[in-house]
Amino acid sequence: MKLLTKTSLYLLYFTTIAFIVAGFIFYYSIRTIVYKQINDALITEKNIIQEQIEHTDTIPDFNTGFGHLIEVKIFENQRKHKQTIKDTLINTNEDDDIPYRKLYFTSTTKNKKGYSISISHPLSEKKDLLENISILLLILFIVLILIFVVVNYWLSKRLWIPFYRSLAEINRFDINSSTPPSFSESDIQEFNRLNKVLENMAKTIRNDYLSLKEFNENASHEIQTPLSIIRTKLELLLQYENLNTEQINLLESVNNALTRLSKLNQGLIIISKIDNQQFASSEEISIQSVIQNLLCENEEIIRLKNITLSTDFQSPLKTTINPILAEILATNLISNAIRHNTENGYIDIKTIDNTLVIANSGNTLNIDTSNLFNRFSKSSSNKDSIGLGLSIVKKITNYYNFSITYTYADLTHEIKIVF
Amino acid sequence: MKVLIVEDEKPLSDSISNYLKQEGYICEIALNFDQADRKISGCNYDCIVLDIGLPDGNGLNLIKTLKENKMNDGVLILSAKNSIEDKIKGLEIGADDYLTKPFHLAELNARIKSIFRRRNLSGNNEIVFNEIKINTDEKQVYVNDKTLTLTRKEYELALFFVSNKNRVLTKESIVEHLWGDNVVMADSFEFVYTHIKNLRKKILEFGGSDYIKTVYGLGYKFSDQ
Repeated sequence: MKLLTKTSLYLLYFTTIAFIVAGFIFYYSIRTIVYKQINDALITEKNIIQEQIEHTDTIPDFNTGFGHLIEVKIFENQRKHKQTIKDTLINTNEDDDIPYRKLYFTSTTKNKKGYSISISHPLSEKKDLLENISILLLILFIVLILIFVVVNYWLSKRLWIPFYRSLAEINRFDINSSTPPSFSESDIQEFNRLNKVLENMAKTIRNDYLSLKEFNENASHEIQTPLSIIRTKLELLLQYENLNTEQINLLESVNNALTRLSKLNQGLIIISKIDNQQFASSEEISIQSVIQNLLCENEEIIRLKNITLSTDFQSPLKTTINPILAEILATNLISNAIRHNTENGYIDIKTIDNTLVIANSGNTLNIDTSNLFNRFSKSSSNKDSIGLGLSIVKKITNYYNFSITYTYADLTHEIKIVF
Repeated sequence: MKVLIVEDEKPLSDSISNYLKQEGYICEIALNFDQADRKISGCNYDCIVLDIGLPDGNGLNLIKTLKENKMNDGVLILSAKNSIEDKIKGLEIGADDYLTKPFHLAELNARIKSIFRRRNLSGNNEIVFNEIKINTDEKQVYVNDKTLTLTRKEYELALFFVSNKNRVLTKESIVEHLWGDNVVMADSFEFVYTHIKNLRKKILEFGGSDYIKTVYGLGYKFSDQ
C-alpha cells in the first residue's frame, strides 16, 4: 500500500472516531445546558409563585401562555417541603402525548396550609433545537473530514516529492559507474539529511568496492610470481634422476594442486579485468568464425570422446565485442559442452538471427541450476573444474548486455545467448 | 650462448638460471633495472629474459635502450600481467617473444631456443638428436634421413621434446605448449597420450629408438640415457 493511501486511510479512520466522540460530548453538553435553562426557568417561576403564596396567602392569577402549564393546589393539611423536576408526557388535547419538563413543589404556608405547585414547560421546541444543532454538527464534521483528507493528500504528495526524487536517484545508482548519485537540495531538513546519508553511503560503498576490486586485481597479480617460483622449483625438482615412486606421487599431487591454483588465479584475473573494464576496445566479430576456430582446435578431443558435432549457422551472426572476450566466451562455452558431455554424446551449435544456441548431451547436474552462473558453483564430482567458467561467461554477457539462459531437458544442456 | 636473466625475484631468476645452465648456456642474473642496464651496455647477450615489472623501472625501457644502441640481443618478455597491450607494445618495440607467469621452464627453454634459431639466419636450422633431425625451416622431422609424415601437433611435440631433451616434462607443460591455456585440461591428457603414442610409433617405424619415456603420474621424458 502506498504511503499516501495509508496516511489518508488512517487520517479518515481516526478523525471519524474523534468526531463521533466529540459529537456525542457536544450533544450531551448542549442538552445539559438546555435542561439547566429549563430547570432554571421552572425554578424561577416557582419561586415567584411560592413567594406570592407565602406572603400574601393568595393564589396568583396565571396566564397559561407560551404553552406553560401551571397548577397550584391548596390543601387543608400541611405538606412536606419537597421539590422534584422530571420529564413527563402530558396528553393535552386530541394530539399525541407531548413531552414536558415538569416541576412539582409542595410546601406549607405560615398559616399551616399545604400547597403544591406544578409547572410544566413543553420540551418540543428545545428538542427541535437540539436536533438541528446535531444535524449541522454532523454536516460540519463530514465536510471537515473531507477537507482534512484532501488537504493531507495534496500536502503529502507535495512534501514527498524530494523523497521520490531521491528514491529514483538511488535506484539509478550503479556501483561501476564513475558518476556518483547526486541528490537535489530540498527545503525539508529530514530529506536533506536522508540525502546526505545516502550520498555518503553510496560513496563509501563505491570506495569499498573499488578498493576491493583493486585488492583482487593486485592479489591475483602478486600471486603469479610465487606461483612461478613454486612451479619452476617443482620442475627443477622433477629433473632429479633417483626419485622413488613415493616422492614422484608427492610431486604429482603438488603439481596437480599447483595447476589448479594457476587456473583459478587466471580465471580471477580475467574476472577482475572485465570488472575493471580493461577489455574496452571492441570490434565487429563474427561469432561463427570464432566458434569454428575453436572447434578446429578442439577437433581431436571431440573425436576422442566420440562426440557427434553438428553446426548450423543459418545467419552470419556478428556482434561488436572485444575479440579476446569473444574468444574467452566461446572457449568457456565450447569446453563446457565438451567436458560435461557423455561418451558418444553430441553437440549442436546453431545461430538463428542474433541468437547462439549451444546444446549438448550430458547428465543431470547435481547443483542448483539457478546458481549455475555463480562463482565456484560446480558439481562436486568434477574435480578438474575450477568453477569459474560460467561465471566468466556471465560477466561477459552482462558487460555487453547480452541475455543468457540455461535450460536442461531430456539429458540435454542448452545455453542460449541473445546478442 | 649467453643469456641475461632480468628478474627481481631471486628464487625465480635462480630457477631459470639453473635450468638454462643445464642446456650449456652461460647465464647472468640482474635483479633490478639498474643492474640490467649496466650489464646490457657492458656486453652482448644472445637472449635476455626480461621481467618487465621491475621495482625500479619498466623493463620495456631496456628494450628501447637496446634498440637505440642498435644491439641485436634477443628479448623474451616475462610478465605477471597477461595484458595484450603490454604484449603488443613489447613485440612492437622489438621483443622477440612474450611469456606470462606462471610459466613452465620447459616452455621458456623452448622459446629461447626458438629465438636463437630465428636470430641465427646464416646457419642451418637443424636440430640433431642422434638419428633424429628436425629442420625448423621446413618444419620437417627426419629419422635416419627419411622424412616422417607428422601432423602439425606431432611435429610441435617432437620439437618440444628435443628442445627439452633429458628433462622430465609435465603433462601440463605439454598441453599448454600444444594447445595454449584454453583447452580442457583433464581430457587433453588423454590425447597428449594419443599424440605421443603416434609419434613414438612413427619414429620406431623409420628405425628410430624409443626415446619417449613415461614418468608415471607426472609426464614424459625424451632421453637416450
